[in-house]
Amino acid sequence: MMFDSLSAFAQMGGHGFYVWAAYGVTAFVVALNLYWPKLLMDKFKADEEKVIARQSEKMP
Amino acid sequence: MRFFIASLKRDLLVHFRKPSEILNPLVFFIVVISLFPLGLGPSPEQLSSVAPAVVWVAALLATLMSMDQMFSSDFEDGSLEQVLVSDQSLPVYVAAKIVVHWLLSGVPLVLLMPVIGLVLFVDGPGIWAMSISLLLVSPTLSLLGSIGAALTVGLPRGGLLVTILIMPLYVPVLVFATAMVQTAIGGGDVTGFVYWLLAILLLSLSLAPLAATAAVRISVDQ
Amino acid sequence: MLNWFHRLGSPKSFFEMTGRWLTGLMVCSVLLLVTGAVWALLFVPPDYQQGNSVRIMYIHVPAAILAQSGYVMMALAASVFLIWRIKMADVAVQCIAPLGASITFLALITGAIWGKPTWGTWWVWDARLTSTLILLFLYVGIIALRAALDRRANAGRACAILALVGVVNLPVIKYSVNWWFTLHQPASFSLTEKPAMPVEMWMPLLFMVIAYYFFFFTVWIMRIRNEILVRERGADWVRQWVVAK
Repeated sequence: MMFDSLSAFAQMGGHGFYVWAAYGVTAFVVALNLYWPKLLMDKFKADEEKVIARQSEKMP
Repeated sequence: MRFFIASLKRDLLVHFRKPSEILNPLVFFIVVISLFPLGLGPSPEQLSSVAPAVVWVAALLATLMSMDQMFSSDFEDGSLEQVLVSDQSLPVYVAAKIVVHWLLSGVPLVLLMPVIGLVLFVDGPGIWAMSISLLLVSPTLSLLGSIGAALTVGLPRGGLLVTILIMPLYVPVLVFATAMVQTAIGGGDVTGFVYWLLAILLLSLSLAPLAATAAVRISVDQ
Repeated sequence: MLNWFHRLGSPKSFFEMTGRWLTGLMVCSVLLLVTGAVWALLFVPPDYQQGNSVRIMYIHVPAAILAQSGYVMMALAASVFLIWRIKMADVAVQCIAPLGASITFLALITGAIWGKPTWGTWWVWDARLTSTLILLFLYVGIIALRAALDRRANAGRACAILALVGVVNLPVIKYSVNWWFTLHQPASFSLTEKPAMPVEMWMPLLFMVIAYYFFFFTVWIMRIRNEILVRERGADWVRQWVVAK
């Protein structure tokens, strides 16, 4: 561990804003990229279920 | 070969009938360059120091402006498809288009260089360097631009799209050409730059027509 | 082995194969990324010149590496598509472009943020950042062309050609930007050769690069799966899959 205390960790020797901003943006973009396709897939499934349901109603 | 000459003659004739197509990019070029002194102030030192970059960026933009027209009129009246279907050589047709574009948009810019140089207080060696570099580079611009034109044939707002697609490819050209002019203004030797620009031109000459022809085939063949 | 490649080429079997691995890949990616981040934040010694801001290197450099290799992978997929007409290759190209763009964007932003404490300004037109910016434009071009061609029959081949043109130009662009930068480097600012990194510093970097690759491939596969569903909409196997879960 390179830091003695939690506050030292947060401050990063004066560079805290930059380090945390950079890691924050990265975490955000990574999470977005992992989450967005899943969201689209769920939406696709929901839409297709409706379409299939409508089509099976039309069939005798 | 006969097809090449015939295509050349036909395209030149078509363009001369509608001179606005040739004149618009030229006027654009002049207007853009004229805006810079208005924005920067009339001091000769300042203007001559930014002149290479300003002239070059304006030249790139002016070239791109006319780029999307390269194949669009033939595409719209169906003659592009005719060329594809006929046994005439498509690469020759594309080559003729590129040459015409260079003759009508590159060469006039080169001829304007001395005037532009004077207006921006560029000295003799600088004007020489600007003209030579533009002469070497304008075929490259037409060659690379033809790829963009071929990819976007028939698309709405094609001109803007061509700019987005082709600008990154123009970066090396811009870098070397402006450096060449700046070196010349500073009194240095520009032979190295000439070789670089020549190399880029040869690379484009060998690869761009291939890519453009393939792109034309793809774009028409929907 | 050849059979495995064959199955990758079919949308249905690609979808089924990756479905089995996906959760594992996602978990792996997140674990690797978090481990790497913790390692970089807590266990790497601060740099004698840059202090703690050197920790940003561990999220900037992998992003920059992936931005470039992503483009090369896209060009490879594009050439597979042009040569062998395998539709899955086109799906791969379509799906990698936005991912590559977002990683390039990440490289740019982390590069800029790293630049502020190191050089004093938010943006520097240095060789690396400038060529990363141009790389972003190249990605955006592919995305823009795909959007403009909007699912026409020739969209795949047009984008493939653009990708190949871009990849051929990539070394030329990089070289010219590097050269341009050495020409214009202001005297006060010097990008000196960094001294060779000690093990405590390059090991976590290597680890992070691997973690980023896992992340990249995972997201790529996720996007490909979505695109497969969209393209094969209406097919029997898609309907069965929708109804099944």
